[in-house]
Amino acid sequence: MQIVLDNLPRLLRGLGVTLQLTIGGFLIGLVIGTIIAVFRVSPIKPLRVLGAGYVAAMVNSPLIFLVFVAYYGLPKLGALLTNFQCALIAVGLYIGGYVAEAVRSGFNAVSNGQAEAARAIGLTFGQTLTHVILPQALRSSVGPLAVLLNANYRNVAVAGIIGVSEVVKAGSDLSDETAKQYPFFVFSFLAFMVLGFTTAAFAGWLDNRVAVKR
Amino acid sequence: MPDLTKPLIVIEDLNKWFGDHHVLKEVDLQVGSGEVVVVIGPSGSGKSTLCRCINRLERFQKGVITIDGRTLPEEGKGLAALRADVGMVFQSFNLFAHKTILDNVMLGPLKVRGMSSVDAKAKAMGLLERVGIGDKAARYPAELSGGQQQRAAIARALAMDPKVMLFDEPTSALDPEMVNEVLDVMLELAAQGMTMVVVTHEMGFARSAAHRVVFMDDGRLVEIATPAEFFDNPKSDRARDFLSKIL
Amino acid sequence: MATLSSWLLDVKPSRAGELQINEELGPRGRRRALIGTAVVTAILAAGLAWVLRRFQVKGQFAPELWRPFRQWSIWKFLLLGLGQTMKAAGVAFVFALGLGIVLAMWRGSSPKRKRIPATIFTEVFRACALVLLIKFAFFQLPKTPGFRGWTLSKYAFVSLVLGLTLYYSTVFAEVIRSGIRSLPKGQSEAALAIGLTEPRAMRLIILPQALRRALPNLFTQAASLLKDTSLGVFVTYSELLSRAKIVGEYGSNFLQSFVVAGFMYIFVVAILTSTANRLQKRQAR
Repeated sequence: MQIVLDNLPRLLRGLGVTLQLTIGGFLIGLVIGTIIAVFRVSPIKPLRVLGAGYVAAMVNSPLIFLVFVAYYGLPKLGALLTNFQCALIAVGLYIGGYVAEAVRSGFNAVSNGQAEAARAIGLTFGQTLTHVILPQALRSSVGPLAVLLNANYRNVAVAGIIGVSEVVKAGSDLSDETAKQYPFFVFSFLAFMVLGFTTAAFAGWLDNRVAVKR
Repeated sequence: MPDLTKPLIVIEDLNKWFGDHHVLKEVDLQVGSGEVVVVIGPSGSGKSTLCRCINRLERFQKGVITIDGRTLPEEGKGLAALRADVGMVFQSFNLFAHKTILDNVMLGPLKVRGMSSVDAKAKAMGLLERVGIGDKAARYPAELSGGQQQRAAIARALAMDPKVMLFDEPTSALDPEMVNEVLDVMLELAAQGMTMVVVTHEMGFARSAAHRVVFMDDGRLVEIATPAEFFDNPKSDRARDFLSKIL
Repeated sequence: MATLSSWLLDVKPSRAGELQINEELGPRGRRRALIGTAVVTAILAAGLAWVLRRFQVKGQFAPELWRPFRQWSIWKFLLLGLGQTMKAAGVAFVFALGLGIVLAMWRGSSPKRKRIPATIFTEVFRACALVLLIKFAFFQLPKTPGFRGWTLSKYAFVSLVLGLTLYYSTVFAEVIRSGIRSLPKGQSEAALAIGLTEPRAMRLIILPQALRRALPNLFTQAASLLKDTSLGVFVTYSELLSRAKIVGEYGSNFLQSFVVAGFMYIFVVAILTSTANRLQKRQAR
């Protein structure tokens, strides 16, 4: 117990890194994923191919593989990034693939009749999109997106493999230095419990708030 | 009686293919101002497709459709403006699920007609009263029965002050006990002189409200006649066969 | 194979009945789409050319960096790693599914002595990062009586499988539970009405149907499990990714070995994800 308190600043810094990677990576993923989702419904075929290829690549490869590519591979092409940046980029790209699927599932949850009815009363393409399709599609995507955010804090622990001091790595470094292991395992474990229950509660609250009445 | 010398809708040589499947074949039809035309026929005869072509929810490959003397634009703002003048009621209601009934009816007047929200609201409330669901204005579509939803959908279409109303099997998705409340609204509209094209299986409605009945089969207009002629004395074998099965 | 590639390159804008965000294009729309296609193709080609140019400039096309992949021994090394990946995934899948079914049944059952432990187990292990579970198992196992004196690689394998099993059992339990909940109530009522006891109704009537409904999600999660075997890197388990890294260190050709390993991952994982998608589509009908 005392040993955890003595090293609390470092452990909390680790927790901070975990949060930065979780939220930062998710935001990057949100931007990339939304763009990719729009590509996938575009009338321009090369964009659809690009979107489908991107999603297939991300959904079918492990996150830690992407972390390795960023860390060991990118320097070979002349991109010099910090360990943290490598992890952040990998997490963002990875989550982007899943966000694209979540947003697309939101679009698919809107029935075609909604779009037809909007056209039939004379709304233009832009109006149909902003007043009828997007509000419904985004609400349907909120649930899956919240699930992604909830999974993300667990994903980012892989950043430890390239020396990013997120909470697990910070704990195991301290274990090595102090030769005491259990207190640090317990700290990481409790940190994950807190993260898990808060994000789950947040996700549930959000989903409840924006659900479309059907 | 409707004025058949001034056709509101003119369809000439309309042809549509789904892939290799020729679903509308050389369709010619004129609908006069104030006229009620009921389109009937077996399922798969192309009657719904014909109805949807009139406001171009369905594209067609060949032919010309004009509404009130204007040819249907193919796309863009022109098409949207023309659709605003053509009311459409769907089989599955298609009310906007995320908006209240009142907002559903107000959306068109606000965004397409540029009406003020006070005027749009007054108009929408008036229409909802007229179709008998004024008390449901603040509800969401999912909270209403099918018959109430369809009446709300009619109010939404009427809010645009359409020149013509298209009904694509408006009662087919309804429970039997709700069919009449919707048909009553439609009968009232017909009595007030609205130009209507109605695709339906309700033969009673066709008999009492239609000025002309159009019988379609296999993508063609097989027979066009007054209801009395058509139901009592159909000319074509296919119409006779169809009527013998359903009556 | 055909289904795999058709899913990987599933580029139809949408299927029948699904939302058509764009209307079918008119002549002007088609013209714009054509111009757009040309412009986008040019931009994508330029992007690809730029990446290839980076490879060129940085000497990443040098033959000696790619030469190892003309040797069978390197391929064999990587393919054996892929085998290790599949082995860990297969074993963990079987255990996790078994445990997941038990958890799902216990959580849905009435006696508290079953429901409460199952609920706590699920909530706790679902919230914990897999990396932590695997690292802890790897640390703890050698100290635990009855597990001492194994080889390092055995500890690595068991830790990985143990971590995956604990975490994915909670995932599978949730998937199966939502399958159970999606069944109409009449199913269990009918089963009880013909005189089955509650556990037997669960085993004979409810569970088989729930599993069938859960099948697409089970495949999706199995794909995720297969990907997560790469966390074996943390405990020196010699699976595909560790071996790709070793090849890269040895020949100083990380990019090249990751390209090869990446294709291997995408190939095997896509078999599972495309199956999930196919099942999903079939059930949606």
